[in-house]
Amino acid sequence: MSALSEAIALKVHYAVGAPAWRSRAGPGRVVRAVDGVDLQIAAGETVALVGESGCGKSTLGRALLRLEEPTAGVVRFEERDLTTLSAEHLRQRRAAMRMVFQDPFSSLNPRMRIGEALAEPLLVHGLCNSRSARERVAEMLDVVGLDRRVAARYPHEFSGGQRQRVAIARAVIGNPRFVVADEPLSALDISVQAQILDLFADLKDRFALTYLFVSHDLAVVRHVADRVAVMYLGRIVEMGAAEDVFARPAHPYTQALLDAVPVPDPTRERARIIGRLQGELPSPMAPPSGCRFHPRCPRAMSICQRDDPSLLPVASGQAVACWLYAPEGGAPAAERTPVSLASP
Amino acid sequence: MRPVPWLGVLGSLLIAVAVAVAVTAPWIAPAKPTQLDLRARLAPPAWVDGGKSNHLLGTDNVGRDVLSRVIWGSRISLTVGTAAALLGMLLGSTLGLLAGYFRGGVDAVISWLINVQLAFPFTLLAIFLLGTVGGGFAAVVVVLALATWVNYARIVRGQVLAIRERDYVLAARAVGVPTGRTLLRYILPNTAAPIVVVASFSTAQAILTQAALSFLGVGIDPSVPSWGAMLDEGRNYLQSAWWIAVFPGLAIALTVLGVNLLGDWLRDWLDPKSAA
Amino acid sequence: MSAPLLAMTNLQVRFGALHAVRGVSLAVGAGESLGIVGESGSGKSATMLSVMGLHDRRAAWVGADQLSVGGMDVLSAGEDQLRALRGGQVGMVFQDPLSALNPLFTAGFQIAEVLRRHRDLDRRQAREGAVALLAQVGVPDPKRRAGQYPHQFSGGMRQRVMIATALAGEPKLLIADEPTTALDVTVQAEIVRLIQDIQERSRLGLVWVTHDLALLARIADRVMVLYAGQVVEQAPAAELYARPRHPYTVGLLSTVARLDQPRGQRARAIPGQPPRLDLPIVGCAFAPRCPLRFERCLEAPPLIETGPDAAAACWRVETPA
Repeated sequence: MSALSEAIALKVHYAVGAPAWRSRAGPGRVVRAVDGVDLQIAAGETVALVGESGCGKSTLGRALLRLEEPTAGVVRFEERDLTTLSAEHLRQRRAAMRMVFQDPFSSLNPRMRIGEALAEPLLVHGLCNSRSARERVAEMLDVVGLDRRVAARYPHEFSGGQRQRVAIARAVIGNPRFVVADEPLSALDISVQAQILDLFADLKDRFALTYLFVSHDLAVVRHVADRVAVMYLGRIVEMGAAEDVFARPAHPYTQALLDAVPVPDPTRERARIIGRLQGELPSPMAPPSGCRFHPRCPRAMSICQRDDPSLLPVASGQAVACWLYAPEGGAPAAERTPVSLASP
Repeated sequence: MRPVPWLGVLGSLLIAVAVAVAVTAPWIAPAKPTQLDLRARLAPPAWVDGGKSNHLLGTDNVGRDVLSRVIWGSRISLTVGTAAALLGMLLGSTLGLLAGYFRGGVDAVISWLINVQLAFPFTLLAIFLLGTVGGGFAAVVVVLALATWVNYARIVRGQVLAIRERDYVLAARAVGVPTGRTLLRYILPNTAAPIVVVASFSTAQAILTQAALSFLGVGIDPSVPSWGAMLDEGRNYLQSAWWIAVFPGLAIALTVLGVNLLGDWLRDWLDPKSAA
Repeated sequence: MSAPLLAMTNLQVRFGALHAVRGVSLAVGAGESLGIVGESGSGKSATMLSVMGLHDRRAAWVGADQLSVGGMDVLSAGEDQLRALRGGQVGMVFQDPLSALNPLFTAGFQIAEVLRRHRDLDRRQAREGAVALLAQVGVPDPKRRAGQYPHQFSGGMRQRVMIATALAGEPKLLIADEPTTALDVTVQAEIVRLIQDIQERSRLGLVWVTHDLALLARIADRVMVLYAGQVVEQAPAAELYARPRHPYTVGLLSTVARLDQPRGQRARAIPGQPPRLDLPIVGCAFAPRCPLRFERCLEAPPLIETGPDAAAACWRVETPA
């Protein structure tokens, strides 16, 4: 099956500090937000992209919609290379690929009525005239569980959950095929999170959508994702079917992420050993040598400090970038000895 | 229910009176502004000793009725002020919008223009320009717009730099909204509040600068009554005949106050959050 | 147990027409940890700001039958007494350490300031104390990092600095208002462990305010659930998680995405929204969203005892469905 959305050897780097036209950016001034990623998303799938803040997951999500300029590599949507499209052709493609943002308080124009905001995708792509747009907007408000009359009101009159419903409606109106949702729940209250998650599931069935869910919270994406990709410092370190990744996380980083999620049960929660990860996320301007996770990895070996592991399939079904799973002979036995990493 | 915006009402009232006076000048002015009454030169206001009842606010050094001149003067001051502020707004906001949104080279050029304008003494520029092309209404308006566009450009550029990073601008791009529409529907409306504030003080500034230009003798033909020209003429008589300068000065102050109050209120009113 | 460090009876907070806190009572003693859970608008933050006397007196009206911290009446205290209280007897850790720390001063200086003010140390002692505190909260290379500014720290490290500042006044009571909400899960786990260690070692009273019920399972002895400015349930943690009595607590627990249960078991959403707080609430505030509501819910339920030290504001305690 061919991919609906695809990244091939994608890199997104950007300079920080002075604007590009006057910076003499040395190598240390470049953030390697996405640093060599291959990802395929098939039509109808829900893929979750998880990782800590600063790992590049949002940049990757945006790059798939070409809202970020790739430094190297290719981004395809429906088999067309988005990186070579003209601005106008790209703009037209946006009818089919959309985005939901994290913060519903900043993702809606405060000076546009809800109805205008929702009609915008229909009007700019000439999908209908302004009269029929009004009807489509009203229908869409029904679908996302809002009163039709809210079309005449402004975003500030609504709660975070209601605004996120509006933002989702804007993302799915006019029948797009692919939606990237960037942390769409993390700004919402917990009881509202479940409502919005239900809404995403409902819309997927109704409009045959394909989702990329970008999230820092593994627990949240567990029930919606078909596949999970775990990102660390600009790279995907583990990728596989959701049931495999959650049941048998292979990469030590995935294991640490899963370990860190609290469980609402005092007996088990108190017995859990937490905080096993050493140190902090290194700067994406100067990623560590070898495996980027090795300075924090509880199972680091000598080879990890030197050689970068590639993403390879392992027995439990998923693909992992970790020397622990390298086929025999991939590394000499001497280099598989665990190293003790003195905490700083 | 929102509380009644009393200051806004007061501002509107002041402006309404000023506009009404300007429009009805031929009918309400007791005398022609240029009519000389040489027997009553330097007559004080009517309620002061020696005042004359046919010159309510007194007369100037050649016996022209101060009240009539203040009434007629409102025409020049208001039209010049408004036209200059609008022209400056158009010019400054557009340049600020382009600089802030496109950044890079566009921004570099516009920012350079802003800095040059700020560094160059405006009075010198005005004297030079008006000296070469001559005075007259249009020339004065253009010169005053040149004095105020920087206010708009700087504020709008700063606002746009902040707003273009907002998620809703990215969201517009993600949906496929063309650039022009993004500028007009997503960015410009969100700079409206500071533009209104700048417009209110720029109008005031234009009225005052127009007065200053007349004062320097490079503005509009001094025989046409304007508040600025009156101030200029009155300055020599401040000790002996204060009323020549004080009444046009008062008219300027009240109008400027009105514009500022109205601007403040308009800014609140434009904010969708304040809509009941 | 000695006199509680924090005693609050019938707290009311109003912001104009908005009645944010509607009769909250609680008590925390030395070595105890209380978890307060609620969504935005539940009044949890307004409650904690009252404890510190941090409400703007022009904007907020605060009243209570009793509100005392370490025996001092907060409501009648003057600004000087309140200043001595904050950062002294009571340490605070907020959600956003970047805005709680002054960007213009080094981390070490800010901690030393608290030491000098509340502990009467001289400059040198304070500087050394600050380094020691940074070490205590697990900041690596504390001597060097004491000389750095808040923006030079990562989110997790900044929160550690904030905790060090809170500990500098040798507080007896620590108030943590969503201290891990802005952090990644792995960092959250470290901060939770750190605060837990400190609390147990120094026998501090701890109040941890959060919207995340799962988080409290580890850290709280007792849990209090707030909804629309009222306490709807309170119980020892073990009891609350095992046998939640209030339908809202049940709902909250079922919305928590759990990794310890089979996949496929989807979180169930609580339908609807919390009530508006600028209008009077008739009957039970949760009734419009409640799956178990019946006629009696038209009358506001009091907190009904459900066990030792446990109570729920729900008529279903008396009349099971």
